[in-house]
Amino acid sequence: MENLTLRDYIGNTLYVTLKDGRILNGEFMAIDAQCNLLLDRVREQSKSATAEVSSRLLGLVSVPSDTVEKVEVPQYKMQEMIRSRAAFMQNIV
Amino acid sequence: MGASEEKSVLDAHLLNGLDKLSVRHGDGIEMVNVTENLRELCKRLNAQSIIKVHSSDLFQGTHALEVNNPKLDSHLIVLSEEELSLSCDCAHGANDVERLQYVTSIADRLLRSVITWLNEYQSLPATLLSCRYVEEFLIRNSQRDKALFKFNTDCIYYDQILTNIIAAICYFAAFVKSLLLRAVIFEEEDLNFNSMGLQSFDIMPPQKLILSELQKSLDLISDDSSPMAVHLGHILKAVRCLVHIEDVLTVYSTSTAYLDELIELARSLQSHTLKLEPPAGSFSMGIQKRRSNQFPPKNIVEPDNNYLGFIHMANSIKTVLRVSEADTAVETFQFAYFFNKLKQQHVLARAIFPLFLVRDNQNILGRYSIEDFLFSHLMEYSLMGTQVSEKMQSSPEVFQVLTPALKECANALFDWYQNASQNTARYRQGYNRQLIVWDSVQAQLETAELNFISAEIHDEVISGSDTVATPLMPYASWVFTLKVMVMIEFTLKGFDLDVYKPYEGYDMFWYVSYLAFHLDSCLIKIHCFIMNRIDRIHAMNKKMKKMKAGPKKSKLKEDYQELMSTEMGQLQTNKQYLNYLIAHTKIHRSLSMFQTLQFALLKSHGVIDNKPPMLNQFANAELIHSLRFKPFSSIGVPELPSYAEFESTINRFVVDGEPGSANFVAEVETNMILMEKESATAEEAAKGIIRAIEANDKNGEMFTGTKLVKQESLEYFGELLNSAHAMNINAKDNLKKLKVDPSAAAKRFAVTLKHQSGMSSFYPLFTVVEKKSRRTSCN
Repeated sequence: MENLTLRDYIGNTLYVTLKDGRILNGEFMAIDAQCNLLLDRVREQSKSATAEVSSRLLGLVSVPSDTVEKVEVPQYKMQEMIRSRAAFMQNIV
Repeated sequence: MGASEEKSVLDAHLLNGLDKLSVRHGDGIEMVNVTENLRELCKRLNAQSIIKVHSSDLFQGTHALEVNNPKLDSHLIVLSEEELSLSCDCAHGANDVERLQYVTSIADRLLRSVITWLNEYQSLPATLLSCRYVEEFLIRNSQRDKALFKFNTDCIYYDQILTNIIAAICYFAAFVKSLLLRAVIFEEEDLNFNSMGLQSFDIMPPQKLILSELQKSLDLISDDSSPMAVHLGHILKAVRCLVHIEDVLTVYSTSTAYLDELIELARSLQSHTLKLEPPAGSFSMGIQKRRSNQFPPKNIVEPDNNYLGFIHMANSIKTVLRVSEADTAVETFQFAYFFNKLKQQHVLARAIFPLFLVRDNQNILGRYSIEDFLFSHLMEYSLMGTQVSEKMQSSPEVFQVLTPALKECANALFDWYQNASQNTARYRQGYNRQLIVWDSVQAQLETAELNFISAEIHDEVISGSDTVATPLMPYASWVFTLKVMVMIEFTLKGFDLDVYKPYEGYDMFWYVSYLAFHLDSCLIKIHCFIMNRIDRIHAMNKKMKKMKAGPKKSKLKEDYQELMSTEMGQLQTNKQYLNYLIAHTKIHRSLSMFQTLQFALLKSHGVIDNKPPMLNQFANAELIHSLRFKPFSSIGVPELPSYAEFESTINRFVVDGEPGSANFVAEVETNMILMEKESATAEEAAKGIIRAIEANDKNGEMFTGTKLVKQESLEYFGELLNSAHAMNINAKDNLKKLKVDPSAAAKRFAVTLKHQSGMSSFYPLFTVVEKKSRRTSCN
């Protein structure tokens, strides 16, 4: 994974857990040097005080880095990214 | 090592790394935590760098919502305990009186929210959808099959009456949505229909069911004469009127009964003095937090006692329905030209107009086919009495060459009609789009009509000071007229919308006078043709009287009677319509010429220039001028004059010499006399038109075709008349200021474009004002 670049992540679906407990998943559109994320077609999942989970669509969302608890990628996607990167590097070799 | 082996080793090495990462299950999918990896990669970026999807435009990012920003993150909306706990499954209120009061209060606020939404351009979630009952109704109704969902509180006020009112209001909202989908009005620009992902608007029950449920509700409270029940009854009836509004498009009803009833009910509801307080928490921002939402949080709007807004809406729709009374193409055209011109009609009326005019089956007002409608426009202008129209019956094959151009022409005409009901900004944009279409249609028709000459179809005219006959080209002439009218309107609308800076005033007004000159020539040509035709028919009568009885005389008599019955009436009307168009064009020509002279006079004093004040290495005056005139650059006729021609004309009008010198003063006086003449010409023409409108086109001077838009057209020409008068006074005031110290005027004064109420917004005043002194130090 250490060989992956930011460009490899772009366009994939990210699962972002926020510090307030919400989980956003959406298409990774952009990132800056401060690790602020821009996600599109975002679905937000949150829990109410009664632990009821609700889900809704938000569209294009900017996620400041200081609100992020963790960012995850589905493992199968990760494998695809790694394979693509490997193929790319091999072509260079 | 072979390539494939090398790849598998590399794969294995990379994939091995995955095992070392924390893996968890989320939504049944194994996830890999990449937080640290992303952070590490970001550290390697330059501070200004952004990595993004290729197709993404970062400008889009400016519209993004932002997590944890209270202004952009609807999740952060704080709801009160009442808002969180409000249940739609129990009847609020301790007894029937209280429950009736609560239901009436909810219904009252909902109905007023319709006006806040439609008349005051507020968003749907901040108005109708802020009601928890509406939200619940839409969610639960979408889960049912055909039958109408009803609240289940064991109280008829909630379960029957409130449910039915909500259903009816949602039904009406769904009708509004259908108008948006038909692209006659536009989301955000004309109204907001953010349905928060609720699909129920697309699956509303049929009108019949809604109406019968409303009637049942009315029956339930018919015996209750308490003020609260009476008020609720009025609300039910008003809502019923809203449900009926769609009839104007579903069955093309011209009945105004429901609109009249709505007006009466609105007056009555407006005058209520009841204390109405909905249950705490029944209106909130909750839906913005709970439902899909691509917009920043918006405070809900507490509607005023705004029932009178329904009167505006109903009257506006009634205005649009008047178009069905148009007897001729000219009346239809004039209706479209004036009904939305000075005051923007209600958004619903503007949406209804094009759909009511051009029906789903492409029928016009249920009376004409597209071809007939277009033909009527031509016959009521330039085609009547021509050889072209005469031979159209006998040799239809000759006219097949016109078919493709006429199809395009019909489309352009409908586009013109549709544009007439657009909002004020889109209206100008629509004209911009039409220019090229009209120009192309004109070129095609001209080519086709030139072929008629070789087919021995000659419609020629000698007009004005011409000595040689020119072809009339009745089709192309009509298109040319409409095109130049659109060009004038587009240019002048820029003043109305404050698009132009004062320094551009000269170019724009001079161009209008140039266009009006060309339009005038065309109108006079057609007028001459009509006059000649009328004279020829009358001459037949004189000739007949001199002839001896016999077959020749009988034939002539027969021809004469035929022409008198089929042509003469329309020719007389067309002549008078041309009188009107000539007078209207004269107003624009004179007022725009006045403005160019006024500008030149101000430039002579050095208080304004026709060049942009701030130029840099990337722009010069000619480039900026070309940019402004780009919409006209491809128009064939009348050709856009070159920049040099614009420049040479202003130099002809500018007074040379030292301001204040004897020669200068004398020339200024001469210009002022010219300006007075122009304003007098415009005033005279406007008064003539006003006289004709007031006399219902029966004073024998003009046919304005404005019987359906009498007030609107009177107001329009009244404003032009006021402008002519005010421009004259303003010019004298300007000169008075400049005369005090002509040599210092340039330093002391600047020029602004000033709109005044009661005057045409097409002709703002060039007003000399003191320059604002610049501060040189700050305390």
